[in-house]
Amino acid sequence: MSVTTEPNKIAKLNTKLWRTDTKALVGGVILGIVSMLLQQVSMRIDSAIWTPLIILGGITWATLTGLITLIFRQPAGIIMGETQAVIAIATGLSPVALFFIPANGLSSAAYSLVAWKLSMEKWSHHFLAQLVTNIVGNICVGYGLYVILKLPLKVVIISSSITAAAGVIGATILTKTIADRLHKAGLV
Amino acid sequence: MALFEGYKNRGTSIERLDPRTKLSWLILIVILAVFNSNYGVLALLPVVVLLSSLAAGIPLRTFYHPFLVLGLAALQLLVIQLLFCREGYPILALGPLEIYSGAVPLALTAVLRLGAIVLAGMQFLHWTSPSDLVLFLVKVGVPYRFAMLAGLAMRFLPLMEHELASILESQSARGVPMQNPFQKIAALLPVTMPFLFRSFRRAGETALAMELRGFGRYRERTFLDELRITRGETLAILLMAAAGLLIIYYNNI
Repeated sequence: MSVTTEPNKIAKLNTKLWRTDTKALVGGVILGIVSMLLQQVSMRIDSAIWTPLIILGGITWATLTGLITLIFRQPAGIIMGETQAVIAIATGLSPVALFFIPANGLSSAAYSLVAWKLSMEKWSHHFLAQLVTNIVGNICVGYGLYVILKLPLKVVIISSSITAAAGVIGATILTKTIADRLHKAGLV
Repeated sequence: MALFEGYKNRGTSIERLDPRTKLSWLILIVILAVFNSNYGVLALLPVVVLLSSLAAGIPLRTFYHPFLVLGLAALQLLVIQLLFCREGYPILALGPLEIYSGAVPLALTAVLRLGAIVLAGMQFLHWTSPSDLVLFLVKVGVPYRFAMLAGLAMRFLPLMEHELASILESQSARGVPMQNPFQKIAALLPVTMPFLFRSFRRAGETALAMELRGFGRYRERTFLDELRITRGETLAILLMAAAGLLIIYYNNI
């Protein structure tokens, strides 16, 4: 008797780029709210430790972007990202919330392209997907910080690099672990 | 205090405006904030947004949280600019640290810009009802299955916020320490995992309930209300569009 392993189940989900069933669409919206609320908690902890760095916030953002895109694919990934961005603007969560609109949409699209091409069975696949996601997202936010907030380029590059590095490492581990657990629990 | 108290119908004439008019207003404020560098105009923008919000019946305490965030951001921006800005001429030297004359104006511009954008974004979502937002999206050609999600998000936010608060309380009651920042970091995973699992279950249940009520059964659907734009509003949108284009043009030549 063959036993289906967890990584194979994840791979089966990624054979398509597009998924427009109601569960995926509603999941995108609800998880967008979850993302915003969790980011609020993690960004508060970030500010308590060292305000200029958004390490926990970056990890939370990258993990949820990856997780939702991996499970619900597109357009749920973009819906999740934009829901999070719009609510962040509406609640005044972050002064750079406006930049989340392009950052979340583009990084989710980038993640789904990698997840579409790779089987997402290996840690290296998750690492690569998160690398692309974090680079795209941080370029968008970094551009906003430089052009609109007129922050010095050196500060923008250093803070974006640290946030991206933490996001890639943390989110790679968390995305794979949580996705495996969700499958084990039969929730996706 | 709830993050987003949700839209409340206050019955004012501003609130009854078409969402397209409100969106044009938001875009005009963002264009003015991004393309204009005049301090007077930048300082006036948040005031105009707050006054128009008051006229629409939105209480000023709605903007309390963003003011706190903006205050913190202003402090950060000032410190960063003082440390790294090299525009203008040196006005003070403290050992290896030199402070340049351009630091404070740059920080001030950024804070005023942010203030206008954040407040205008909040204003739009506080004076536009979720159903108007859905009707607007349908009107501009978004399929209703996607357009309905905008309203869904606004309705689910207080529910999910309540759920997170109850998970935080439960974990705290179970003895998970959450006093200092490091304990809070350690407590993130025990809070995040049940919250995520519950949210996935809720997404499945909500989707099933919606499909059982016929959501997505037909390609088209009708709505109880309809958007009606007046001639005055159309004229206002055209004027705002012209003003926006002129601002972009004159700030790029």
